[in-house]
Amino acid sequence: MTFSTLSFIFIFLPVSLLVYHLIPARRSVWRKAALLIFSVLFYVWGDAPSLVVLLISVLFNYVSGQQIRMLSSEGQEGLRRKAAVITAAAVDVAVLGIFKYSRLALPVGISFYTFSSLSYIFDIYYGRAEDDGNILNEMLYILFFPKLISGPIMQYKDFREQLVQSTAKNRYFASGMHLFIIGLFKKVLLADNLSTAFHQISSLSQMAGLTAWLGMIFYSLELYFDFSGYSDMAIGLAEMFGFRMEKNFNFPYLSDGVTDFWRRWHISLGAWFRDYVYIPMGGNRCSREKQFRNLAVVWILTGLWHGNTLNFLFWGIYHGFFVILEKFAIGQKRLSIPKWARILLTDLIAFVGWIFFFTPSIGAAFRYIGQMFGTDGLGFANSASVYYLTNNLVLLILAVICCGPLLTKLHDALVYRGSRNRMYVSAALHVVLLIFCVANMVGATYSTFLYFRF
Amino acid sequence: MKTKSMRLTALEIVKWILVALIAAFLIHSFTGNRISKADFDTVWDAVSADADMSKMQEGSNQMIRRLYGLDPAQFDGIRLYYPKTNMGAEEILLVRMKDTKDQETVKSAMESRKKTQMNNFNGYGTYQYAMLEKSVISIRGNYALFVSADNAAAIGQAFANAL
Repeated sequence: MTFSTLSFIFIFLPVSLLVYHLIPARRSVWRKAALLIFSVLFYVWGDAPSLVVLLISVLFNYVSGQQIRMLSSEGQEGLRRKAAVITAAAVDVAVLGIFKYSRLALPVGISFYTFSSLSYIFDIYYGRAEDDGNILNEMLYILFFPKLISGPIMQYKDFREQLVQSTAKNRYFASGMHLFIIGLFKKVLLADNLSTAFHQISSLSQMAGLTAWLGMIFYSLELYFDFSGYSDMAIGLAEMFGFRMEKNFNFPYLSDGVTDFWRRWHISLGAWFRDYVYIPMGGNRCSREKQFRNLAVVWILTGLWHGNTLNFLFWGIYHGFFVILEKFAIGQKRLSIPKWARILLTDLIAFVGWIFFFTPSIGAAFRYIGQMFGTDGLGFANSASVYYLTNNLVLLILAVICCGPLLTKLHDALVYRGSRNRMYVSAALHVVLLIFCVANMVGATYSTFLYFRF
Repeated sequence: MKTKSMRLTALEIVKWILVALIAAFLIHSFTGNRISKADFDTVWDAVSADADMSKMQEGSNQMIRRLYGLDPAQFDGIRLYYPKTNMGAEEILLVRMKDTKDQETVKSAMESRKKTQMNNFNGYGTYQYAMLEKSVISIRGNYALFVSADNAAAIGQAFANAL
């Protein structure tokens, strides 16, 4: 099941919210149990055959976590403790690797829940999270349905803090609904229509330069609205159940450097690699050579995390190259370039990188890049280019506007103008947006989320 | 102290039992989800041999996108035959995937199409509705089949035999 289906919005979500909020807050165990049951149902609805491996993995990590918790870090026990954490991490990574690099059907969400499991193990090992051995907390942390399938990859220490707090009053419900509707808008009205525009172009065997540029731009915008839309919906859903998650995207296409881009794109994945790989390896507090090595490892792993083809490895190295270049060679010199030019250059680097996502091989990616420069011999633009541009111009303009905070600012100016909050205006706008989304969903065919394949 | 030691031993045993279970699941997955090297046209011939093709017409790539939301370029092979008239419910979609990671996407697209068709016929097309109810969605390794026909089960079996 995905968030952008009618059955989720009109059946699963209202029923789960109703049951959860009907249970008194003081009965926190019952609430967690209800949420856990709904999370399992959510997973079963989408990928029932993989539930077995998910549940075994959850239990394995729980047992490993308890072993690590019980062993002291001194002497012989310290060695056993270290062995336990290495074993747990090795088994988790091996299972992920086997599924990802064999031709087995990939269990839905395995890349995301494996990273959650590793966070659980590492946070206990490093003493970042107090753990009382409560299996319900651990299971809910990994299985919590808003984040189970496609993140954000929340770290155990952050989630556990909220699990042990009393959630007597949910202050986040309204902002959760707001985020969910915005996410739905991004997915249903922007990403799905951009997907149609992109697929019209990607099915062409030959194309003029402008058509290839448009294809790259449509895909880059689709990927952003698809994934950030999903993340917004996930965070919104979590808030409706009283849990807070940090945002996963922060207007990444307004970044003025590749390093800045990765502080704004899939923030939770970047934070995971920073906290569990980069910093334990020494981070910035070591020689330049070691910093270089640490960054290279992180970017190779980031590429491998995304997929099992050379494209993803190349894409990870490609981004790593620019991050390293900015850090060691360019530094503050880049500030001499106007900000708008830095933003455009960063977007160009990011957009070209996405070509390796939508092409089946590195050769095909470079062929596509060649097509952008007219290698098909059809010139820079032809009638097809003009058709694809004019036919999707409104969508393109709307998408570009939505890459920035302009609409949010307009909304705030309208609602918070003057001394009074005009919340009814905001509510009406959200209802209208929801109706538009639902109307679009009723007529549309099934459309999955791009990041589910990871 | 003794209790702690016993608990740690118990946890160690449970942990390795769980690892064994994961390994067993993986072995089962490898044996039950084999990649077929069968040629796409051969599988299609086996599937279409048992079907009444006179009630269907071949669908273009655009039709596959419209009805299923799938991009034909993403697959090794894909062929759609869909009803000639609005009152028909006979349909076959055969897909050979490049990657079994696409199984879930293809399966969801097929289920969604089946649901849409059932909604279309619900209430007035009793015969078509019943046909869709007993339609077959079969995902086997790198191949996937959706068939809605009077003899859907037999076609599904022919598909399995051809792989």
